[in-house]
Amino acid sequence: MQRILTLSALLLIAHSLFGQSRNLDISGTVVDTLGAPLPLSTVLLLDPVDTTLISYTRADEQGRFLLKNQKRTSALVKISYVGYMPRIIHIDPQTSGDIDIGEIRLEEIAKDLFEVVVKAAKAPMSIRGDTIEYDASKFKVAPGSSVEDLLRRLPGIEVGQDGGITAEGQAVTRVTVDGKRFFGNDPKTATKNLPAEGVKKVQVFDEQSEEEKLTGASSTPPEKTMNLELKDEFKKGGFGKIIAGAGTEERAELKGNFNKFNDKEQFSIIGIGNNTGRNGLSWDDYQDFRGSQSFNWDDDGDFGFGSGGGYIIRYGGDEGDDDIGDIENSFFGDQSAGFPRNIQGGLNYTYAHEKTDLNAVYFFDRSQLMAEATRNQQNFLPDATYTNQDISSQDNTNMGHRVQFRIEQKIDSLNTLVFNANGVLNQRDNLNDGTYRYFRSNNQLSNFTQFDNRFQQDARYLTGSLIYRKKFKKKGRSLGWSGAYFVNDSEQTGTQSSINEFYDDSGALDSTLVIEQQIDAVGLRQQVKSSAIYVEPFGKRWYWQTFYNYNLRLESVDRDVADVVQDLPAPNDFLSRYYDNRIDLHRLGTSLRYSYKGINISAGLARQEFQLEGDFRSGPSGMIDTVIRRTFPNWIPNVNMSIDLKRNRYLDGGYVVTAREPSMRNLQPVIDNSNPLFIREGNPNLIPQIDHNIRMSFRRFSPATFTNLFTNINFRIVENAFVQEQTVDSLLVTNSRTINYKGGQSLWASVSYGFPIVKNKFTINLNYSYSWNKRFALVNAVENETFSNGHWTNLRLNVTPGDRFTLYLSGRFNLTDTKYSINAEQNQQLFNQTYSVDLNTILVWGIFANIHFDYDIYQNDRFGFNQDVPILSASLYKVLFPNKRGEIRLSGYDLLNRNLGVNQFATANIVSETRTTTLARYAMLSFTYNLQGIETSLKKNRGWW
Amino acid sequence: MRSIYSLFLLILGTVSLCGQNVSGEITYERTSYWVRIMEELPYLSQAEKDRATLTWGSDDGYSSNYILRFTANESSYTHDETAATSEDNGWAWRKDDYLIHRDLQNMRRTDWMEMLDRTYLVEDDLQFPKWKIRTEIKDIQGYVCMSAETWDTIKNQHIIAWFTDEIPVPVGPEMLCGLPGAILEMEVNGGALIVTATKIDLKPMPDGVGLPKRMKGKKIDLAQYQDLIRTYLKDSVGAERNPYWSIRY
Repeated sequence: MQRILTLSALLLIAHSLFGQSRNLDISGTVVDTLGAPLPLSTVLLLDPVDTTLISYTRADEQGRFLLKNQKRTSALVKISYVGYMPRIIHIDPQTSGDIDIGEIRLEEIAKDLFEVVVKAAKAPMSIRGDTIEYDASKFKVAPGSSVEDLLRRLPGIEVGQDGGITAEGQAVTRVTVDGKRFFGNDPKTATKNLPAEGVKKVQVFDEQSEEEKLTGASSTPPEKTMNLELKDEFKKGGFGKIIAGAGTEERAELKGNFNKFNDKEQFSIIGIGNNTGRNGLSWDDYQDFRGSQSFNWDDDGDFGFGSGGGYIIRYGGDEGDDDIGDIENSFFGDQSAGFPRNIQGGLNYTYAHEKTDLNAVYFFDRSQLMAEATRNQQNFLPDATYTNQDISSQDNTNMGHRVQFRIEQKIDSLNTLVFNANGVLNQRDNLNDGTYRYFRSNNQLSNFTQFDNRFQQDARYLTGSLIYRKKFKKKGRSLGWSGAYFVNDSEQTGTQSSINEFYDDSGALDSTLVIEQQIDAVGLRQQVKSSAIYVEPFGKRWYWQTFYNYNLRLESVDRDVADVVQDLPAPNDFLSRYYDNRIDLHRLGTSLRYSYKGINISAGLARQEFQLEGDFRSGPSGMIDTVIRRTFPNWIPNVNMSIDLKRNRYLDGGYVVTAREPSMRNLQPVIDNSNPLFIREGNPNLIPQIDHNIRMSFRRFSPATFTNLFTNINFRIVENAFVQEQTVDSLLVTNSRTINYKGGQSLWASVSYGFPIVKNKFTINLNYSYSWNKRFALVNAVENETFSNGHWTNLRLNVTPGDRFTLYLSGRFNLTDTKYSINAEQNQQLFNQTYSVDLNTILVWGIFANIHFDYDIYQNDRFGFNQDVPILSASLYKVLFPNKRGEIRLSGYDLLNRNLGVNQFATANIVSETRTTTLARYAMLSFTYNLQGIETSLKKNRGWW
Repeated sequence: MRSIYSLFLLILGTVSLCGQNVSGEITYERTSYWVRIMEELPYLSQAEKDRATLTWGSDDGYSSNYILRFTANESSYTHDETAATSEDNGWAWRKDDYLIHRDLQNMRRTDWMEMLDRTYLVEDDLQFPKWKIRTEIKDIQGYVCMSAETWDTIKNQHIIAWFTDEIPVPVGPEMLCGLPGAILEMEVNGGALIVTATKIDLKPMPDGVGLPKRMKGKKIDLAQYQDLIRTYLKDSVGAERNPYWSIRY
């Protein structure tokens, strides 16, 4: 052992002896200007070409240093000591011998400069030769100050009474901005006029003038030049585009948007008009319009169990579902089948700076939809079946103005306030006419109705909410409070006219009912809600959370219905309704959560109580003749779990219970026969429906192999389900009433798997979903149990071999198997298939082509219902102008002219299919001008964030 | 021979004499800016980059704390577990396996890190990056720092480091080391990632940096690690997918 050590030591010595003949030692002593040693100075050996660090050492207590065994090439020795100007010494070794630099004197950096710049302002200081530069933006000046005010604060720079500048004792005769001259040569022009806020760096140089640089002559004494380097305004920008198109079948579209933004402000404007139903508005457009306000997650003040278990309190009430909605809906709203005509536009302004975030939006939306639909429906009674055939046409127009205002103010690092206000003016105009035909099982006509309904509504909505969030010094402890007020008032006027003919079993006319009604309604809805939450941490892993929600809803409706007899209205007391509702909700909940290193599990329980109070009057100011007072207390448990299993595997699950209170409309003991074929009756004995939801999901993504797997399973059990109890009389008039009945169950499970066959060239995604559910219906006092099994299979292939060709293929198969406990002969299978092909390529002369083919096949053999809808669309486009800013495009939509809206469904006792005539074949020539340039990549579905 | 040996000892002794400053703990705040990172992705269009800036540009820094423990002989850099109480409203994210160990005595590197679906243990000889010394100085947490720059040619990153010779140990955050003093701040690609010291606690570390007992992972060497990253970056860009969800920026 000892021998080996000696041997290796010998080898080492030999090596270093041998090395010494080529390499050299560099030594020296670091001292200050008075010759006192500067101990422990840092000595760096640098490559003279690019200052690459070759070696380094430190001086000893006496300031002596030794860089041993260095390569024999020229080098820089840089010596630095805190507070002193570093020195760089160029060495050029001879062919042999060591280098002793001797005494190296370091000069002290002017003390005030060093102390002020580096120590106090914490600004980086750069030392190049004899010149010092530093970051001026670190020296705080009052907002609105000029550069001159800034300069006064900088060490080493003096500003005279007249604005004359001296730096390090010498006059500054020239001021440049970003290296360029600023309005002539008077240095004061720049320093007096430029705002200090915009300046990033101040540099003072001993530089020669441009003239001197060119001629090399120096006729004047050296001047100081000051350069102001402006802040590069990252985040400043603007973009916009406009698309205009004209087509056959009187189709046209126009769409434009423009944005301008900097680090504080964002402004955007958007406008769309078309009669194609293809708004072309996407998530991207929404984000471009709303900018930093696209996602305000914290605006939900309805504190609850937290992720997944939150109880959502809707603004809506009983009377119609015309919710105030969100701007998003205008961007993502589905275009129904039919012939649409849309105009939309809006302005968005955001100011966000330091602690304030302010946003204001205006949006206008007018949409019109004309459609003609045919519906065929089979209805099963315990002992019979009847069918109905409806042909209707509608012309609906909806117009709204919306103003939205939001301000978020951070009071300090622990306290935040968010205020939101929304106002909407809305006008609706609906026109609906057509015929209903009902047939008995023997195909004999039992009823014929011809109707014409018109309806107009003017509504105003206003909401205001305030959210206060407080964090505490103790990490994890937090408090939240919210309060909100909502008001909506509306006026409706409408007419309902119909002629109803009823035929008896033999086919003879039994009776005729003529309805001519005029409806005038005014409604006022108000909502006040307030919530509070408190979270207290225990140790590093446990949190205890308590919340309280209060929600008060007030509704008052005066609905006058008059029968028009020979042009004279006579009040219809039976259908007129006058009522005031008050619904109170109190909910107090608590939960315990474990949160540590990717494991988040919580369990909690809430007690909630609905108090319903309804006063129903016989006339607008009449006596109260019916009073409903109901209280529904419920226990609401909640379990939520999320576990990060490592290696990109996640497991989530939960158990959520929700209690749905009965609607006032269903509680009201009033008979509604506004549709003489479908008479509704209230049920004052209703209690809330309770839904138990259990969910579990597992997901995994492998970034190395680009494969992903998602599985989901959801199970729902319904207690006291709201079920329609219907009786159908011999004239096929349905009487319907909501009751609580033993609930159904449903299961939904899905698995998706995606993987590349050839990485980045050929990818497959597979998805299979299964659903099962059991529902009940009561028809003529007989329970009909419906089981339905659904299978969905989805296969997607992405073929992206290169930049010039992409192909996306997909196939979807859906089989729904429905079985009934009564009328088992009606058991049926719906089979829908959808195939889709999307092909993109570049043809000759830079012309791009896109071909899109969707093929829908609807099949229901039991009812002989089969429908194919093949839709083929194609477009050719060419990019124009420098920077790809222009595009001209020729598109053909539905080239086969086969478009049709199809909808089919089967419930407990109904099988229905609807076909809606829809805008079909047309061609369009459109032109786009986009400041950002046209996107020409043929790939889609990019994961970019 | 003996005299050389004693000289070596002497040098060692001088280093440790001035050595109150050669061991301790430095806490760093590591902040990454997604919009800036997105701007580097070659497959994104100008419209997509503008949209990201517009939506998240004013508020996209994501911060977490790390701790560097060091002595004259070694350093370890890992998550700051003392800040385990979660910041995000009680939600606790799992922290990835991550510990960078530098053995300065035997010049060995050990990078224990989770990426691309598994935990790797990169073990190899330690080579310092090629540093260029710049002219700036600035103050970080009371220490005057000099500036140096280097390039990561695999991730295509330009890195500026601020080191102080007042802590004369060649250690640093992330995978950086090899400067004549501890690195107190680093900035990648003009501010897409900034790691800066928030607390410096110089103290004797008699038990060394205290490595965890279990650092399990697939053992690879540096070349294999670099190959993995290189291939993954190429594939991700080809798939038009942001690579930095699955590896560290």
